[in-house]
Amino acid sequence: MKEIKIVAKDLSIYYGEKVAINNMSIDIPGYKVTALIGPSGCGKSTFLRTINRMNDLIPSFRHMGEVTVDGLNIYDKDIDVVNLRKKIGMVFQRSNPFAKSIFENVAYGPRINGLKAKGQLEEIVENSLKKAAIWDEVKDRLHDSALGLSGGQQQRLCIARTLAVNPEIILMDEPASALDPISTSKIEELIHQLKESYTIVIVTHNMQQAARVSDYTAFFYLGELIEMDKTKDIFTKPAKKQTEDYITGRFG
Amino acid sequence: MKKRRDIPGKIAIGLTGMSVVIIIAIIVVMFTVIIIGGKDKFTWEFLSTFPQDGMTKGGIFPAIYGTALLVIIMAIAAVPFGTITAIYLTEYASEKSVIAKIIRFAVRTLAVVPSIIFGLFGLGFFIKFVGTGIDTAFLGGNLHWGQPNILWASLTMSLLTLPVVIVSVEEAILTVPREYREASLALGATKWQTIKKVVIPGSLQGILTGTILAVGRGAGEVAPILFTGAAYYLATLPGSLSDQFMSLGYHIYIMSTQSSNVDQTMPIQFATTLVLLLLTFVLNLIAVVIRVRIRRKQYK
Amino acid sequence: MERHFEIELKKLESRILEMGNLVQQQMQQTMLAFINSDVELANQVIENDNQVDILDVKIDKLCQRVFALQQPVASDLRFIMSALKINNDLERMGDLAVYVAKRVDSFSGYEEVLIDLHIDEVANMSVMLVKEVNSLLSSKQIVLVRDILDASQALKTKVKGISSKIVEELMHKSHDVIVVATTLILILNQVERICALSNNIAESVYFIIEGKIVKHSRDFLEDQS
Repeated sequence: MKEIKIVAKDLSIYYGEKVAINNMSIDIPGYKVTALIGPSGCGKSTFLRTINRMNDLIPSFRHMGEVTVDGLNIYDKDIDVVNLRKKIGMVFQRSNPFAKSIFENVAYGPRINGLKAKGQLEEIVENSLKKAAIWDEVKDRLHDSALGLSGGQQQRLCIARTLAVNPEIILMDEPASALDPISTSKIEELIHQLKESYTIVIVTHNMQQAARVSDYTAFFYLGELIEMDKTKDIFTKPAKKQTEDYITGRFG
Repeated sequence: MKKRRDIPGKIAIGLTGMSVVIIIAIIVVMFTVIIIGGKDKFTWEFLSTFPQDGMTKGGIFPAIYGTALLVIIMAIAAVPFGTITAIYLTEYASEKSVIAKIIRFAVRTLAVVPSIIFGLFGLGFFIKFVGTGIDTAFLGGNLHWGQPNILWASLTMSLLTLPVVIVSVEEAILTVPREYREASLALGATKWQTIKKVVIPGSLQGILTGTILAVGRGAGEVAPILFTGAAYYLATLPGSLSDQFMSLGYHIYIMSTQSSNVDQTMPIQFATTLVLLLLTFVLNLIAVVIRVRIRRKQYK
Repeated sequence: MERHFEIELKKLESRILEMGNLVQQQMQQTMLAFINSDVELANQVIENDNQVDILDVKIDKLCQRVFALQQPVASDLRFIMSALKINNDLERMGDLAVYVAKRVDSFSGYEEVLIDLHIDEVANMSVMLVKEVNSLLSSKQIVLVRDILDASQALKTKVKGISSKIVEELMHKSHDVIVVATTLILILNQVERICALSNNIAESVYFIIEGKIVKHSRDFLEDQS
């Protein structure tokens, strides 16, 4: 029996007058990788950014319906957004390490949570970098600028930075779209390792990537969830023709 | 195909070229005249000694010292205030905020107010209202703060340079990539933590540019300090905030209009002008270099 | 505009149909040669097998290329996976035709034995079965799957009946007849292989259309009816 971690129920999202997501419901299982796929503007990124309320930053954002994480409505007025975001980490399309040292990047989260003890910080930084499979590459230059790393290393550093806050859910917004194939496969390998301990939701334009890394795949089109199923079923026998047309490249 | 003769285009090129030549010529002539006129006087002794014999001999050290002190106090007042304003405008105010619109309008207006108005405002507000107020309230009516001094002059000057600081810092804050803010917020940082740890460090160069531009502007202005603190001649350097001071710009003004012997002070005028010109020129150059570096970072 | 990928898929589809036609023709001729003891026709079948082999390799290479370059998914994936298997099954059918053709000369002088045992019916049913497989390949109509399974079942029953009859009756006769009878039993075994291969192909087509793997289970058709 799979455990459901994130639930959206009758969710609609608007940017001003524009409908980004139209009355959508979805269940996202815990400790699995769920891939959100679909053409640009289909609402998949919007939905991803709803889960940690990053959309709050956009003034014209409005929503209807509810989104719950572990049964708690995240748009409830009692919910502390800052705490919610500590529980739900996010990795972005463009790797965005701060213009600080590698160490300080990873220590950023724990520090803003008030952790000051040097020993503890060092331990968290080392563990996070190890979990993000980048420790061996950076352990001798922890105090060098993070901007000196390659694109793929920067992205794994960003994952380490996210892990340092000890989240339960990791949202990834096209995390490998700007990376070369070797770096991409390292990120994908990392995702495989992380899913034992984290619930991962990943938006990707790369169908093969969705097929390789995810357990479940959800296909979005024009702000609606067309189909969600086990990835192996979506990629061998999708139930909906629209899904079939999209994944086989016969769209439109 | 026959080559077309683009006569209006050629005229345009001719006109713009001529304007460039004229502008460069003016600058070259100005610098040449000032350098030739002032080069004999421009010595270490001139920079480091007091004026003598009714200011017909000696150096301009107190004016340099006074100008430096003026801009330092001015920067201490203007930079934090301007930075906080810029942070409010970029980070907190929403696009539709009426308050933000009023602030922006005020800043634009401040930037075009003639500097002599600042001088009069400084006299009226800082000296007559605030200064005299303090004297009456705390010093039993003894005249101490209610007269021109370096503090009031610096604060007046800081009002004049505030728009420069605000605009520079705003520009720098906007160059901090959105991705940085998002990354910080996604890690569970509050908005203020994000501003403190990501936005401000990312805009340091802009804050520095704003400071330098403000200092460059403040060093050259005369009108705002005319009534608020600058002195004709002082035998001693200012020792406290309530002292008056000498300044380079005011010194040139005095020398060229009030001197009893204009011919004799002519080389001193030129040399002083040279000092002031070099000072503002170098400050502006530094600001330009930092700006270019910020822009390059922005478009990378 | 047609995409390169679709052109490749169409090419693969037409190659499979070509293979089906070729194998059907081989089967028709070998059966005709068999019941008429027409050695010449049989030799022609043996010669033509070469074409089946060439086409087999072509299809394999085409599938390999599409897998490597296009990373097919969903219906495309099912089609190409199945194309590989169907191709394999058809090639084996071709081999069976050759197997029969090679033994046609054993029956000259014993035509009556074949007539007595109604071997012509077996030959007809085999040809019909292969024809039906072929029309399933070109039409992809799921109703034909059931027809094929039924036809092959009927053929199997027929073959079993004849085989036991041979054992009961012919084996007690002269030495020469026993040799012929043994050859006949071997051929009938191959006909049973044709039934199995036809079933495989029918299941593969079912997989292309429905996306369900149904080999080793027969009850899948119950849902259909």
